[in-house]
Amino acid sequence: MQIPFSLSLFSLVALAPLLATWAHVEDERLWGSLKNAEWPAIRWSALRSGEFAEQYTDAFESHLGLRGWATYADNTARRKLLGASKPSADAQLGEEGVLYHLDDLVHFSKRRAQLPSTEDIASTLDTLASLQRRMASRGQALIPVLVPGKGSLYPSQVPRGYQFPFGDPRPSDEAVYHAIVAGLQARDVRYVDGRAILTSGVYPVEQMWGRQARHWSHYSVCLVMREVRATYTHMLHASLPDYPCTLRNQKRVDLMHEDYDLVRISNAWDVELSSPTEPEVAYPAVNSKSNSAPSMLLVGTSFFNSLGRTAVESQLFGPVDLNYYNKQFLNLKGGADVPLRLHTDSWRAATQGKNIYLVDLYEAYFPGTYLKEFLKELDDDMGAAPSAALVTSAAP
Amino acid sequence: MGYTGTVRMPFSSVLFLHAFLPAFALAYWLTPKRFGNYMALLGSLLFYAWGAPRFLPVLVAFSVADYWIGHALARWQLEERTQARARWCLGLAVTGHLLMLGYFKYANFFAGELNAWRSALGASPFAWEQIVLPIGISFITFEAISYLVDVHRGDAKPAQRWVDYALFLTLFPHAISGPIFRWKDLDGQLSARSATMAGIQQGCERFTMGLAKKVLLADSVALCADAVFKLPHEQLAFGTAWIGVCAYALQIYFDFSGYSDMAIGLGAMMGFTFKENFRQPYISETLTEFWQRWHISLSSWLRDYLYIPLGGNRSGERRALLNIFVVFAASGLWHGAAWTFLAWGAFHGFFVVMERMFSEARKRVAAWAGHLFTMLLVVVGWVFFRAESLRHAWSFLRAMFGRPASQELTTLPGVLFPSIACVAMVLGIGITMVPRWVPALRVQGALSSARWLQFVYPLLFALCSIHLIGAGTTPLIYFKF
Repeated sequence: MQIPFSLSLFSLVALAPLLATWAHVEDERLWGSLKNAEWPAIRWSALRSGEFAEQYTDAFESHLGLRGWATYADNTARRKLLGASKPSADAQLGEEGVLYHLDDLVHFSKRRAQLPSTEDIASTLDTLASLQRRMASRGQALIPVLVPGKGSLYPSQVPRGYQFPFGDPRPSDEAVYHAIVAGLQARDVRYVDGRAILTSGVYPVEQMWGRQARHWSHYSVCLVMREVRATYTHMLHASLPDYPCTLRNQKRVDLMHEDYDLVRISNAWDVELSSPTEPEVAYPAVNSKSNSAPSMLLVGTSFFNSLGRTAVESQLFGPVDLNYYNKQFLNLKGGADVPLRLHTDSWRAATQGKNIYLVDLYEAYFPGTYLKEFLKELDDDMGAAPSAALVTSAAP
Repeated sequence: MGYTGTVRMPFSSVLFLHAFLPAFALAYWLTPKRFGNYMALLGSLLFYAWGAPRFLPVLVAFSVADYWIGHALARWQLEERTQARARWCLGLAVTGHLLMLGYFKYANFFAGELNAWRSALGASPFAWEQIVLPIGISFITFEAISYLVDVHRGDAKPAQRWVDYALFLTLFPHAISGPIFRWKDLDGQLSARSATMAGIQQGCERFTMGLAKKVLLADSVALCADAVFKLPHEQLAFGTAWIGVCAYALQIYFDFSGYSDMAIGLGAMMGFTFKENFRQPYISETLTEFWQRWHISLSSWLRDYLYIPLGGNRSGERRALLNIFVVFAASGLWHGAAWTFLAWGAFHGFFVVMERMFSEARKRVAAWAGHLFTMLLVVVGWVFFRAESLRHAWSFLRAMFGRPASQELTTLPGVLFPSIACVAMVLGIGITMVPRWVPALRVQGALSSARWLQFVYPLLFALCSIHLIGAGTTPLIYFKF
C-alpha cells in the first residue's frame, strides 16, 4: 500500500517535536520562561484526581523538542505580519520599535474606574506621611520615590491598541501620578519624583530609559539617587557628599545588557538592538569606609534593584539592602537572598534600624500590596523598633 | 459554555497532537482489524480518563447496563405480554440517564438558585460542594437514550458485543463536542469498516481544517469577544458591544464547527463516516433554516426524540407551535445550566414559532433581507448564550440598541480588538457569511478539487502546531539578581 506524500508530511509534522526531544536537537533558547516542569510520579490518588494528567501535560509541553523554535517562529510571524506581539506576552512591541512591558501598557490605557480610588491613595499617603514624621524624629528617613511607567516616557510610541482617546491628562496620570504628587505635597511629605527627573527634557529620553528596556537606565538611577541623597541630607540635616552623574566612554553591549531585557523575552528572530553601544556612568571615588555612612533599605519592585546598585556603586552608603516586594531580602553588596515573611522576627531584623528607607511608588502598581503591607508592618513595629543606630549588617 | 467539563487534552492541545494522536493512530493501524474496536475503546477510555478519571467507572457501568437493557428491550418487544415490561424498563433506563445528566449538569445550578433564595429570605445558605461536569455527559446521555429508544421502537438492533456499544458511547473523536451519534448510523460501521490510505488522508485534511478553524480563527477572535464581554456595564459602548458580539458569533461557530470537523476527520482516520454537523449556518435566510444547518445532530435528535414524542404537528397547529417552543427551551437548557441558556433557547423558539405563523409573508421577503434579519436574530441570541447572567445580557443588549451606559469610547481600542483578532474577524466573516446570493464568491467547490491542497494541509497543520506550542510559551520577565 503506497503512503501518499501528504500523509508522510502530516506524520513528519506530528512526530517532529518528539523526534527532536529524543535526539536532543539543539533548540532556540527561550528567555524568561520558567524552568521545565518535572515529570510526575505515578500515584493512584494523583491518577484518580486528575492531578497526574495535569502535571504530565505540563511536563510534556515544557520538555517538548523544538519548543523554542516554534515560539520564535510564532512570535516572529506576528511581528512581521501584524506588527504586534502576542496579546498576553510581557514584552509588547510599540511604534518605532519601542518595547514595553505589558503592565506599563495596561496602566497607561486604564480608565478612571479601573484605577485606584481617591480614598485608597489618600489612606496610603496618610500612613506614609505619619511614618515619615515619626521616623524623622528618630533620625531615620523614609523617602518615597515615584517611579514612572514606560508609557510616561514614550507616550507616543505606545502601541495603537493601547492608545485611547482620553485627552490630556490621561486618567492614569490624573488619578495616580498627579494625585500622588498633590497628596504628598498637601501632607508635606518629602519625596523624590523620579518621573519628573526622567521627563525633565534635560537629557534625551533614550538616555533615561532604553527603548528596549523594561527598567530605567543606569544614568537615570544615578540622577534619582543623587536626589535621594539631597532629600536625605535636607530632611535630617545630615552630611553626605554630592557626586556628579557623568557619562564616560561608550561601551559595546550585547543582548545580555539590562537595557535589552525586553528584546530577550520577545523570543523572536530578527529583533535588532536599538543601540550597539552604551555610555557608562562614572562615579567619583568617595571614601566608603566611613563609619557614618548611612545604611539603606529599598522596598519595592525590580526598579529598585538598579537604584540600590547605584547606591552601592556611589560608595556613599553603608549596607544597602533590598526588600523585594516584601517577600525577599537581598544584600546588594553581595549577600545571599533570603525569603521574608511578615510578622516574623527575621522580617524585623531585616527591616528595622536603617538610616534610610526608600519606598517604591511605581505608578503602574501603586499602591500595591507590598507597599501597604510594608507600611502597616512598619507602623505596627514602630514602638518596638530601635532607633537608627548605623547598623552595619541587618541580614536576617 | 456548557458542553464540557474538565478537558485536559482537547484536540487542539500539544499533548493530543504530538503524543496521543500519533501514538493512537500507529497502534490502531497496526492492530489486526478484528481487534480494532478493542484498540479504539482502549484509546477512548484513556482519552476520557485523562479528563474525567472519576467518571470513568460510572460511564463503564452505564454502558454495561445499557447493553444488557438493550437486549432485554429487543427480546421483550417481540412478545405482546412483555411489551408493557419493555415500556417500563425503557422509562426507567431513560429516567436513569436523565437523572445522571441532571445530577452532573444541573445540581450546581439548582443548589445555587436555592441558596440565592435562602439568602434573599434571610436564611443562611446550605453547604454545597461543586460537582465537576464530566466531559461530554450531555452527548453521552442523548446517545444512550437514542440507542434505547431506537431498540425499543425496533428501529435498530441491539449491540452484538459490549465493546461495540461501549465504543459507540465513548469514541474519543466525539467526546468533547459531539456530534451526537445515533446507534443505527454507526452500528454497521462498528462491526465492519476499513481505514484506507485515501480515507486516512482525507481524515487528516478534515482534521487540519477543523484545527485551523479552532486555533487560528476561533481562538483569535475569542481575544476580542472575551475582552468585550468582561467589560463592566458602565464601560460598554455601542460599537464595542456590536463588535464584541459579532466576534463571539464567529468564535462559537469556528470553535464548534472546528471541533466537529476534527471529530469527522479523526473518525475518517479510523474508517468511520460521521454525519455532517454544520452546513454553513450563517448563510441561512430564516431561523428555521439556521437550525437545519447548525449543530444538525442535536436538532435532528430533538426532533426525533422530543418534538415527535410530544405530538409534533399531529395534534393541530397550536400544539405544534407549543411543541416547537418547548423543544427550543429544552435545547437551551441542554446547552447549559443557567437562566441565560434557557433565555437563549426561548428566544430562538419564539422567533421560529413566529416564522412558522407568518410563513406566507416570509416568502415575500427578499433573500438578502431574510439573511440579514436572520443574522441579526442569531447574533442577538448569542448575547444570551455568552452573558454571565440575564442582567449582564440585558445591559449588553441596551448597549447594542442605542442605550449604552458609556459614551467614553468613540473609537475602537486595540486592547479589546488586537490586530490578530481583527484579521481573524475579517477572514471569518468572509468564510462564514458569504451569502448564497453572491454565487461568484462561493469558491469552496472549486478549491476542493485543487491538487495543490494536499501540500497546503500539512503546512496548515504545521502552522497550527507552531502556533499552539508558541502560544503555550508566554515568558515572564523575572528579576535576576
